[in-house]
Parts: sequence; structure tokens; C-alpha cells
Amino acid sequence: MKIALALCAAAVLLSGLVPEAPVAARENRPLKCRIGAARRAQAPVGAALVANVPRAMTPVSLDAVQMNDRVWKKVIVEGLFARRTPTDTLEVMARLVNCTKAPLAVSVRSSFLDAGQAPTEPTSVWRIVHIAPLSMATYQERSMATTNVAHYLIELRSDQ
Amino acid sequence: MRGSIIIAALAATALAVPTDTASAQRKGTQAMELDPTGRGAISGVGLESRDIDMLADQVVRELMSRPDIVGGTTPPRIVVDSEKFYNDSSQRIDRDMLTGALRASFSRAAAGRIRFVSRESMDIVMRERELKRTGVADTGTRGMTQGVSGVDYQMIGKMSSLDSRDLKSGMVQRRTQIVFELVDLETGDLPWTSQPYVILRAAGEGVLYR
Repeated sequence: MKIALALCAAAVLLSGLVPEAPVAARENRPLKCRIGAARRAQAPVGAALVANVPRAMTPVSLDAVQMNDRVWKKVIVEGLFARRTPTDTLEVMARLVNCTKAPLAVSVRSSFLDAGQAPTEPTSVWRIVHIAPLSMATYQERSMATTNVAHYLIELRSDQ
Repeated sequence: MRGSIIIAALAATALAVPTDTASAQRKGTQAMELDPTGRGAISGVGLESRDIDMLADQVVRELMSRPDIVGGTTPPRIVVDSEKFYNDSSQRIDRDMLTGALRASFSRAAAGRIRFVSRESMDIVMRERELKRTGVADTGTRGMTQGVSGVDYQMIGKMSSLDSRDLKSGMVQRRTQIVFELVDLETGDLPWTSQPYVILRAAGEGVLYR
């Protein structure tokens, strides 16, 4: 009987049908990341930058965060926000999580593009964002151009 | 035959060595092309090349989102120069480089939403106005105005630092802070103060800024 129950439990776990515990139940617990789940996630459907030769480059999703290989095993994007300011410039924000147990300094910059994916302005300078161990930090940038900004791309890198 | 081959090989080696050495020396002394927004080849605890670009970029993007400054139908007139930019820090720096980078970024980003006025060039403006009004020069192609442009806002700023040194290890740490503000030249109000640009750096070996 016990074996049957255990098998049932295992089958349910493998099928991914385990109901997620309410978010509120997870407070007061140490932060843990599942980097593998983030890495296996499907690319978002939408606009992307592609090479002029098909398959010559990994498509870079727009309205998203692009990471380099030094960061993507350490940082998770918890939230990504974009909104218009009162002067119609675009303000983008990314809440980043440091999944390591060491302080992390990452460089972040933003590009703003029009509907045809042409740049509307020079790419912003690399800004250093310091993230404490197993903590969050928010990166924020604003465009200079106004209504012609249709897409953005946030690049994240680290030399550590 | 075999002997001549060995001699030829030795001669070739002897010729090759100075060339390689010269090449290595040339590589060591040649100037490098570096990204002005990157860390650079020499970096210390003070304000660096990348900080100037970061600071200008941050201030411009922040100001362009302010509806009270750029949201009106009539572009405000602003002075951006180093007259009221004070360097109280322990680092020697050309203040004009900071305000020049800021004005250049600002001017490109504004795209007509702000008008920039020069007070540094008042002497040449007054000289030309005098020439036009005395008939020595004609009126030019843009016509004449009763007075020069009045200014709505002036950008002011201050750079300050906090230095500390570990007497045992000789390690140096410096916090550098730069804050810009806009002064309303009619009322004296400060409608905008930038987010402080703060860097905190420590290094074991000093770099001379000059």
C-alpha cells in the first residue's frame, strides 16, 4: 500500500501537476534559485533581433534581458517592467536576483528601438548594479526619445 | 651539402631573433584603442573616463523624463557650463570636461525640447551686436533682437569626496559624489536635483590623476 502511494506521489511529481503552494506561504524562507528551470525556459514569443544570415546568430529577444555567459548561471530576472513617463519617454526596470552567496557587481545597459527595430538613440552607458548575496536589486533606465520607442533590450554582463 | 644547410638554418635563426624581439617590444609600447566607457588600462579610486560618460548619460535621461522641464510647449532656456560647477573633492579634474560632456549629451537628446544658451560667449555676442548696430556689419540672415536670450534655468553642481587610508596596508578608499541641480534664475527655486552619482572605490596602489 505504501509503495503504491509512493509511486502515485512520484508520478504526480514527474507529471508536474503538483499544485504550487500559495506565494504567501513561501515568505520567511531563505531565497533559493532554480537556475536550471530559468535556463530551460522557452524564449518569449515576440520581436527579436536576428542575423542577416539565417541561423548565424542566436536570436536576441526584444523587450527582454540578454545575459552573457558569466551571468546567466548567477542571476535571475524576477520582474521586468516598462512604462511611459509623463514626457512620453520609456522607462524600463528589471528586478534582478543574485542567486550566489557572494556579492555581485553586474554591468547593465539598455537599447531603445523603434517599430522597425532601428535604434532611436545611442545605447545607454553600462551601469554597475551591485547585488548583495541572495538578494535583489533594481536596474532602471529611461529613453531619451519619446513616442517612437517601440522596443527595448536590456543587456546584462559580468566580468567576475 | 649538409653543412651548408645547417649554416643556412643558423643564419636564418640569428636573423629571426632580433625581428621577434623588436615585434614584442613594439607590441608592448604601442598605443591601444580602448572603449571610453570601459574600465581602461589604468584605473584608480577616483573619477574615471567611464564615470564622465555614465554621469552625463544618467543626468540627461533623468531630465528628459521631467514634464515640468521638457513637457511644455515652449522649450525652456538652459545654461550648462562650468561656472557654477564646484570641485571640492581631493581629485584634480578639468571641470569643463564634465560639463562639456553633459551639454553635448543633453543637446543631442533634447532635439528641440530645450534651448541652450551660452553665457560663456557673451563677449563675442556683444561684440557682434555692436558691429551690427553701428552699421559696420549688416544684420546677418537671422535678423536682430532687442536683447540676448534670457535664461530660465542654470545647471549647477558639486563634486566632493571622502578619502580614507589603511595605515597598515596602505590601501586607499575614496567615495566620490557628484550632484547636479537646476536653478530657476527668476525665482531661485531648485525644481530638479539629480540622483547623486556616487562611486566608492578602493585600491592598494595609487594612480596619479592629473
